[in-house]
Amino acid sequence: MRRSVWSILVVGALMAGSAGAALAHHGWRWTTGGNIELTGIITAAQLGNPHGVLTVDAEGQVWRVEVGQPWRNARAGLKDGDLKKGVEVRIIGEPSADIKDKRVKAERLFLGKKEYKLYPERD
Amino acid sequence: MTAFWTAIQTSDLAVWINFSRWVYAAIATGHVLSIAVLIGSILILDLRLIGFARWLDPENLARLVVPVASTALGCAVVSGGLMFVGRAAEYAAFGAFQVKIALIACAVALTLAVHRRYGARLERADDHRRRWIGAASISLWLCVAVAGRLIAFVHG
Repeated sequence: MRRSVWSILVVGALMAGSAGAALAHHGWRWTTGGNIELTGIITAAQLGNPHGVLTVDAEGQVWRVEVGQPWRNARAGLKDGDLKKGVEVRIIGEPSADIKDKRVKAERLFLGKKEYKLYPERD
Repeated sequence: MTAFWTAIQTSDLAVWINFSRWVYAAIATGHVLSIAVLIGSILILDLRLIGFARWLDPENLARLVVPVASTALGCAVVSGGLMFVGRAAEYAAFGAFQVKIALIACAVALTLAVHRRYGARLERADDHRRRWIGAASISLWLCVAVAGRLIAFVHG
């Protein structure tokens, strides 16, 4: 009987562990550590908790751009409606370490010439 | 159905949850705490049912654990429901979310059926049945937690 309990606990722990190994969008663990620059047109904006995500068409290549939660975007100076479909945006941020995954987490972004720093403490 | 979820997702309640900082943080924290209490308390009862700690009276233990776990489940459903409302259409389409809801339905159905058949404190179940009930219950609830956590990692 004791053995069956242990096997249940071990299976549970393994499943939890494998979940942790998958790509996470929280934090920066899944990114390369270096910045890239990306300019494109927003084709979809899904803002709000727990994450804000933009779909950006950069000369035919579709990227998923992770921006801040509402409070972070507001702190950077972004207003409601700034990030919306049809707007051109320049993103500076860390891309996914998986090169096939066209995903970047924005550290700062430009609308026209104006800079919005989502993570002022990062380069 | 998608139209229904989209209507929920664009409701005033959803917008409030989606664009507030601390309300969302409080809901997410409440959800984690509810799950900790739910699975923690169920684990203790299930270990006893499986056959550990035989010196502990299972009926007295059930008297404490069942109301605590039920309350925690209620809090988890409310907090989880609020987080769902914020992104209803999106979550409803997630495989991991659908699996999680199915697992919760199984776990709750098992619990209700078992209490109906063997009593509120499982006083009518013999040791052999208790063992199976405990093993099935804790397996299901752990799978619920894993499926729930996978939502963020599979659909990120």
